[in-house]
Amino acid sequence: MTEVAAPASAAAIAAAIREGRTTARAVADATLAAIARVDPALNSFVTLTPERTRAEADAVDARRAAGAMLPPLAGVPYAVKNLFDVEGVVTLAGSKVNASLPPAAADATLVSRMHAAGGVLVGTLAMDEYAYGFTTENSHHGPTRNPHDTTRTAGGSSGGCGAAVAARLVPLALGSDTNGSIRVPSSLCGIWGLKPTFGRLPRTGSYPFVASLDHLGPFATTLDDLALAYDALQGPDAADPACAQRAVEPVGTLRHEDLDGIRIARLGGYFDEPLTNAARAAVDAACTALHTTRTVTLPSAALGRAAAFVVTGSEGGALHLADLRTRYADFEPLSRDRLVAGALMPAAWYVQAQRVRERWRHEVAALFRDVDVVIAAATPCPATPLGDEWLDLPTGRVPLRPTMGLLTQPLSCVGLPVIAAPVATPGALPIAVQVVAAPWREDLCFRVAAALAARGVAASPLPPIHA
Amino acid sequence: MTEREIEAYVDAAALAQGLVVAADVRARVIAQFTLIQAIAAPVLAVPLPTDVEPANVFRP
Repeated sequence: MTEVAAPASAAAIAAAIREGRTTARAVADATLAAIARVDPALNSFVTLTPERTRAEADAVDARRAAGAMLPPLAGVPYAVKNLFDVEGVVTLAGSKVNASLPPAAADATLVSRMHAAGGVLVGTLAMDEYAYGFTTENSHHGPTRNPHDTTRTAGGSSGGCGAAVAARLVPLALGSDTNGSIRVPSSLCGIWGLKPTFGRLPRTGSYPFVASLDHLGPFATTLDDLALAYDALQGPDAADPACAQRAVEPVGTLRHEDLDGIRIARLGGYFDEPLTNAARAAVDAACTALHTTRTVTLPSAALGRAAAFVVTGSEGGALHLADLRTRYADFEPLSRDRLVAGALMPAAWYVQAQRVRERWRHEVAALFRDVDVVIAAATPCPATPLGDEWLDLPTGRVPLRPTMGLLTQPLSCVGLPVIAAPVATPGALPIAVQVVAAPWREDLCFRVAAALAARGVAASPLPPIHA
Repeated sequence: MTEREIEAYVDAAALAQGLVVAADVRARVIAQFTLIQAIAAPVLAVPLPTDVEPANVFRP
């Protein structure tokens, strides 16, 4: 039996299995072997689930052998950030504290949906402890390394997702994004990432960080795969109080339309000032390809980011307060003092931040009456060396770990849908641009991202291990 | 808030939250609170009319 040549996209793997050119079991075994060979250099996986992997693969093969119609991701390997519940696995969320919890009794809703779509779970992926960080320098697990340069960060907090997908260990991964944790690793690892509208995808069965801001979403190496995963994940779930009770709005058939009638602008001001040359070049390339000459500004963007910072510190600190009282020493040294400080914020600061967030939402809504899609860099610079404490930007020197999400945080603060589209320059580290639309308009993000891909600007570069 | 006010606040708030902050940890928590305070300051300075409600999600 012929194997699919690695690295293959999710769509190519599913087609090869459907057409009988390979089996789900062969793909699963090859995936586990590649992880065993490559991941020691990356440290992207936390737990492998080989028994489940082979059982799910065998079930796909059995369905095909029985002549059943296969679902869209049948036999496609994927992995999840280790804050998703996986039945029988302890949901560590990057922590040592959670290691004493019992294994999850059931899968998270999105893991169940991937299973229903035929996905084959391979394991769980590394992250910053409790998703509080942008570098995945996890002191318990060791740092996750960027496949494009293993001396550099893969970004965070979904750094395991970024590294595993960029290295083509799995074609799809699921992560979370509270302030940029899908978009930052997508940018630094050069892959596609989707942070849908707040409330689009249910968070049921995922370990929370900031209930007001937590989003879940997929990573992929192609835009087609991102759409396949997103369509498989959509749908309401009453068990997540923040999940909107909206029907599935598939994007699978929308991606190749032209851009006629879509008003696109570049985000200037706050979103332009801190950019390094590499980041600005990526935005320039995207805007040139989209024939975008208009620049718009959002005067309260810095306030939006600050409000998200306050809400994050306060809700995150409060969530972990009981454990901080008794198990401080078991927390991540890189973020535990920030968690403690967050828990000490006066209630009035938190309430004011939530009110400023509401006003920021109005300002953003007004902008989207005049434009449909805006473009901004996802990170102010490409991947930084592991261990770096400071980030030198044109706007000044800032502490790196809390601020790598400078450009993502104001947008997730108001729940906008964003696709991180990877822009690669040969010989340079990758970086992504954010394709941002009004709430519930993921379809517009996909259409504009498809144009960037079709016009040769956005693509996920192969890291050196595949070169 | 001045440096001394922040120190006094962190000590008092930690007490109120039942957090025993060890001597070697205190300086780092104060540094983090100082950063939060600096980021929060412009948010706290925004004058808001009373009809701007918090952006919480709650569905009874």
